[in-house]
Amino acid sequence: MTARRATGIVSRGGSIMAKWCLAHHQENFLYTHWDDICDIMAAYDISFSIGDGLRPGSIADANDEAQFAELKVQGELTQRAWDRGVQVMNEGPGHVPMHKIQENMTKQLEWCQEAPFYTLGPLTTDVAPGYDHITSGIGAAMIGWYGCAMLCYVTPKEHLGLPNRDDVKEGVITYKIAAHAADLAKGHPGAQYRDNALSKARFEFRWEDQFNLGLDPERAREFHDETLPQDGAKTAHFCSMCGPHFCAMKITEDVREYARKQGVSEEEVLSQGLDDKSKEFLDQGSEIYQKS
Amino acid sequence: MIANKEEAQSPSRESLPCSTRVYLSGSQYPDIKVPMREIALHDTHSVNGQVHPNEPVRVYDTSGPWGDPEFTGLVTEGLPATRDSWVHSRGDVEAYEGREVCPGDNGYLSTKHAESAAESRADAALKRFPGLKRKPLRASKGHPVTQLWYARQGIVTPEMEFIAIRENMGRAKMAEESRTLNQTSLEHQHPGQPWGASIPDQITPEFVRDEVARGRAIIPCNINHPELEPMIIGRNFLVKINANIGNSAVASSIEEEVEKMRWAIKWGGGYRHGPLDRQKYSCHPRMDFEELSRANRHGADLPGTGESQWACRGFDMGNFQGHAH
Repeated sequence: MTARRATGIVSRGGSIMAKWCLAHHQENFLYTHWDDICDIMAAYDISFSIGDGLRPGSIADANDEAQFAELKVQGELTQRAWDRGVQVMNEGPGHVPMHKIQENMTKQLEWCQEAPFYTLGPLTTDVAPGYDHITSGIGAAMIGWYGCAMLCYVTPKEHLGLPNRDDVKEGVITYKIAAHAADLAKGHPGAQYRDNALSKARFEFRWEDQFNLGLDPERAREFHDETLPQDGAKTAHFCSMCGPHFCAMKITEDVREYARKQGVSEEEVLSQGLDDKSKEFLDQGSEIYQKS
Repeated sequence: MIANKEEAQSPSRESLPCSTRVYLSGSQYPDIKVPMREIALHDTHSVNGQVHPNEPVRVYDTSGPWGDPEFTGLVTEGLPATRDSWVHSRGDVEAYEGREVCPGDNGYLSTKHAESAAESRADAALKRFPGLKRKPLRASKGHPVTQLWYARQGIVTPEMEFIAIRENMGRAKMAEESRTLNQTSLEHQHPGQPWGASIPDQITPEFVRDEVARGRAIIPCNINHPELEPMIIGRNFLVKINANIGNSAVASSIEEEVEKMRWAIKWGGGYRHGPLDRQKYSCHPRMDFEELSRANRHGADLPGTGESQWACRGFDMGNFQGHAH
């Protein structure tokens, strides 16, 4: 089934087992001894993460016959492990374009009777070596939302080399984003609390709090300080993106404060303000650019 | 990845800013200590001069004992065996003499192979740590000792209550309030689209038990990994991630390897530990706190202290051999 694939078998374990099967002209011994293995697992409470040796290694091979045939076998093995009291999750792809991701989740839930799914990404395109934490983070967020229980991270070095510590951090944070985005989309009660707290801090120009509530406080601070390193800027009601006069949040805050003072609603202030401005604009001869 | 040997201080142990480690205890099992990170916030200063305090925010903490500034441990000594009493109190396990370490455990074909490797490269010699403190445990009463089995018997384990507290984080209150509050409230939340998942307002120990019993969630927790902080993987719980870190087969000390692991869990991953350059093992621990395993070239030489639980890949021979003992 993999002979016609664009990228054949890309799983290390899968290729080792395929080689073993060819060398010995026998069925995979892990398959033929499954029940015995389950008994060992049960005596120690070791959980299975049933591997997907035939996962697609390219967009071209996504959702193909080999991949789904293996998923069906995973379902069978899951049931047999459960019969012997062993905990199980199932591993999944791989490389899958966005519109084919949900099918993976739906079939896994059905064929593996809702055992937890655990996927590598999936990577949603093959064209970005060096950025595969992003290509896969997109797929991870989607499949996490659809019901995938655990996401195996991918670093920027995927397909290219051994990740260093910066790559590890980049990959972990990328996947924290994917997992949290999925939690929000699924509607876990309380999942949004941290978002709300951070947004409040951002809106109130509590810069330190905004940094600290983030997944990567160090980077947030570093980026901010690149242009505004002064201590005073940590309480300033603007950042270097729009400057002091055009901060949308500052303007909104001014509007709200004005409304409080006048005892009117924000909508009234805005419409009143617009009327004033409109009048001013017309009085000045409708010139867009004024001489100063 | 290669850690920098020159670093006097390990960056992985520096706390994230304005954060403190807090612990919550259980009600059914009062001795359990569930870690969380609490982020302290500044007061709000309104334009009109009013000052409002902001409550600290608690978040899921994956950094394990190393993430607690109070913790002083040695990597060669391993971590506190928190679950030891939980496992033994169930009265269904026995300790036995583990077999001797053999060359295959460390990736060598024979004793001769191991010796010649040690001679050719000084750093390839295996270190033995004298601190082996435990004998391996296995089931002794003829039934599985899995969380699945306990769950099916209707037993709520300490692991289950630990997870309920860890996943819950005050969500019941928020679920109730989010329906009545407007967008300016911190408790406000959009309704989700769970695609058929059964996500409750509150994660109770009983809910954890039920999900495990029906196979919809797993608690990876090998009885020989008493250091681990229980976590759960299932579609009705928070989505988990895991991180793989590779150590070099050429040179890496136990300290360096633990440092890499701490780095990953500081930022919120767990890790799977495998020498990616040699592609020999590929292990899948839970995403949470992990202590270094007896994987790879350290073999079973590590004190039986360093390890957390591993899940095994059914089709991956390397994994299975590495971790089924």
